[in-house]
Amino acid sequence: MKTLAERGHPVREFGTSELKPRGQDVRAPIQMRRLAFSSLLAIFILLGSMVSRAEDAAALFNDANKLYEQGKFDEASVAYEKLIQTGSVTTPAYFNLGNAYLKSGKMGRAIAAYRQGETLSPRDPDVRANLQFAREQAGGGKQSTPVWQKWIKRLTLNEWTIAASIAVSLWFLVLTVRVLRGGSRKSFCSRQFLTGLIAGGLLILLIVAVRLQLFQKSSVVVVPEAVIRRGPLPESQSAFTLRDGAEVTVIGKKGEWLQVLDASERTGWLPEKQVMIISGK
Amino acid sequence: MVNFSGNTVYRRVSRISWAAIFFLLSCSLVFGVTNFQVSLDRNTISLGETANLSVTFTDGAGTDAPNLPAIPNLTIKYRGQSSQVQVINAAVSSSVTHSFEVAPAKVGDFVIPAMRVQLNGKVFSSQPLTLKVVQGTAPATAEKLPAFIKLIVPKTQVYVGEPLPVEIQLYVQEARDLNMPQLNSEGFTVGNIPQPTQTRTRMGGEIYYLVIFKAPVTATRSGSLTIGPATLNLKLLMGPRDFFGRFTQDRPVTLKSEPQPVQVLPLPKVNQPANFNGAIGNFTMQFSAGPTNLAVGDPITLKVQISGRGSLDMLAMPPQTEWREFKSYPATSKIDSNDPLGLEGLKTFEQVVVPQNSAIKELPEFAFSFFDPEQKAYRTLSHPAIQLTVRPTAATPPPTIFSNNVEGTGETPSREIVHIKPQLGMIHASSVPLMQKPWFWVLQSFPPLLWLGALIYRRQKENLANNPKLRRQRAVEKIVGEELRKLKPQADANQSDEFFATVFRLLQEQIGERLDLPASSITEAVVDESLKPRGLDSETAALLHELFQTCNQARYAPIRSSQQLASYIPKVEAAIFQLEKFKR
Repeated sequence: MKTLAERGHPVREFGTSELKPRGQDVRAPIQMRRLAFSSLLAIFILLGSMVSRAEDAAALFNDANKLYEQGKFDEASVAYEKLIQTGSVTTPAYFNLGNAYLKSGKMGRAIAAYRQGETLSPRDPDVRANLQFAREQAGGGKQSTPVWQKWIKRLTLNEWTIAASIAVSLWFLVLTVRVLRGGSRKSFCSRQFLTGLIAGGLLILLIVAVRLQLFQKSSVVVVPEAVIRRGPLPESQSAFTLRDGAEVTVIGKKGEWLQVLDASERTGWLPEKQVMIISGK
Repeated sequence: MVNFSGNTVYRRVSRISWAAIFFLLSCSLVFGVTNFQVSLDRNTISLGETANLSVTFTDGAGTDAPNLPAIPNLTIKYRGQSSQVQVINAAVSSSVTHSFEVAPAKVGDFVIPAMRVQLNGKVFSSQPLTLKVVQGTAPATAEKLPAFIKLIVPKTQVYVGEPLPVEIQLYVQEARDLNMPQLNSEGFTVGNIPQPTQTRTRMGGEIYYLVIFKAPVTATRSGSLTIGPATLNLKLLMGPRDFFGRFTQDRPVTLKSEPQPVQVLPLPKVNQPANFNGAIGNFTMQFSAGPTNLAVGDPITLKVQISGRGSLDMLAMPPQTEWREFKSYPATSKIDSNDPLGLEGLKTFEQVVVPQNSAIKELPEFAFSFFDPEQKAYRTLSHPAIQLTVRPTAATPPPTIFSNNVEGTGETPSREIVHIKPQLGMIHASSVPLMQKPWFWVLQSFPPLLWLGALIYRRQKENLANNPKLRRQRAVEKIVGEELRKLKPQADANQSDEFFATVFRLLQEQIGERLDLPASSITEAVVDESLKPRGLDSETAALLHELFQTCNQARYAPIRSSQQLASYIPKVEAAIFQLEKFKR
């Protein structure tokens, strides 16, 4: 049971009749105004810095594009890399970086850049076309991907996350409305079942997408010729070689050596510095 | 009425199925296209080995073994026949194969001449075959070894990028757990190794199973390089045999071949065509384009068919530098090849080009250059220019080129890459996925919390509905709150009657709720009769008496000043406070 004090009534000690100082009520609006002004100022500063950062990134991007158009592909690739390192992670940045590497004959790095771009925009036809071109040029072999995996990869991880999040939220909202209305009407049951089914399905797809995009480690060979050895030692017997641009799945790691699986289902070890990790933790 | 039991239905379906199969087989044998083929399991063998010659009749009536011509220094013995029937997607095919053992008596090149047979009134002929017999490369004690492998490299001089089909031949008598061979090949790229073929051969008087693995190998740099050694792991069967004649023991072994030296030459820079894009082999080309009468902006589809021997996978659409007045879109391609190594067949490119103005009168000459390693020279195949009629148009939208099968089929190489993008696009704040951001989970927790809140609210509402005492307690709390707020204005307005009526009602409601009695039945007498026996302290009881008495007096002698009325407010609050603490 609530007491008077808890209900907001001014309860005093028996026999006393003091009230709160009245000045307190006068000061509150001034503090609120100060707080609002500070918040607005912070928002303006934040927006200003974001606009300034975007303008800087656009200038760097244009400079890199100029170098590319002048045929200075190596310098252009350095400029694109610098742009990406500053945090300007965009599909065009990775796409143009891939083009610059491709033009300078670095197939592995080109494929890696295109695949980074593909991760951000999996349905971008330009990225996919150039990636395919680079793969053809490299001829290093790409592991065949099952159809269901291709379908899952047509959406980014964030897109799957948002879809699942909306479906789950909708399901909880339907549950909430049902609880508040207090009924077990058939229409609500069917809606609850349908939204629950959709939410469950999307959650399963999200888990698969997470497994594919976060936990499956994929990499590309970025040296002209990578000797794959039977063990994680320079003295280990060589098993086979992979060319620049060959795409492999990382299945193990020991020190600075990675155990990889190539398109022909062959496994072996190579130094970590000879590949570029595309995805996965 | 006919009644079918389960077994009857089953028997009928079974009979119909067998009849359908028999009918299909009969049709295929009667109407099938007869084919005749002669092949050797290997083109090169060592002296002392035997090769296997197969004569196969496909989809034809059964035939007797053909009589082979006598070839000097080559002994050919008939070993028997085998037949095979295949049903694939309702298409039935049958074949009869006659096998011959070919044993050379000396080193050299032998030609097995073309054979002619007459089937169903038609005469069929085969191609002549060549068998190369070299000096034995197997270990001197080969005839005593239960297993060994040989690495066969067909050429000792190749060019960078030229595909080289190498063979790893396993000779084994009895073994199991056979692994795929590993080829040590620094400076080379080894392609996919398809499923091996298996045959039997005689060497040094011993019969061996011969398992042949083929692999395409491509040199990536020039110089004196070495292919191999090839290694292969298996378990040899040995020891005493059991009742069924099977070996009872095995021993894991690693077989290792001799490495083979290969001289890799760089591609010549002299006379290299401008449009050479790395194609190496021996090819022919067919070219077609259409439509040839079109408007500016309309697409023309080019179809280029390149067939021959070479690495088809690596073959890309040849670049055309003279096609500046056309907008080109990425080409698509497909490969038709029966060669398991993919080194022989047909590659078809299709590409869309769009004329950009009406002044264009022709599709320029199309050229494809490649390096022919046999001729050691570059060759260029070309198709002459094709006359075009390009009509002007007011506004022709560019054709939409869908590239949604870029990854799906694995077959869409493009002639040129898509140019760089001019706009930076939307900057992603970070590469951290949404689900790894704490704010996302905070946001995501709202709907479940809302649901939990609704559940709790619903539960409380139900509890209240089922508990009249609690319901009254809540109602009294509300009344007390409202009435207490009225006291101060009534005191200020000097409304004595209303003030004490409110006080009286407050006391009635609160005491009634505490004693679970109707509010209207509460009088001053209740203080002594009910509250005190239940443990109300005397100070509060005195206060309640005072308040009740004051309320009664006020009815007859209305007081008083605002200050006097206001002085009762703390007393009322204190009494209510004490009553709230009073347990029922």
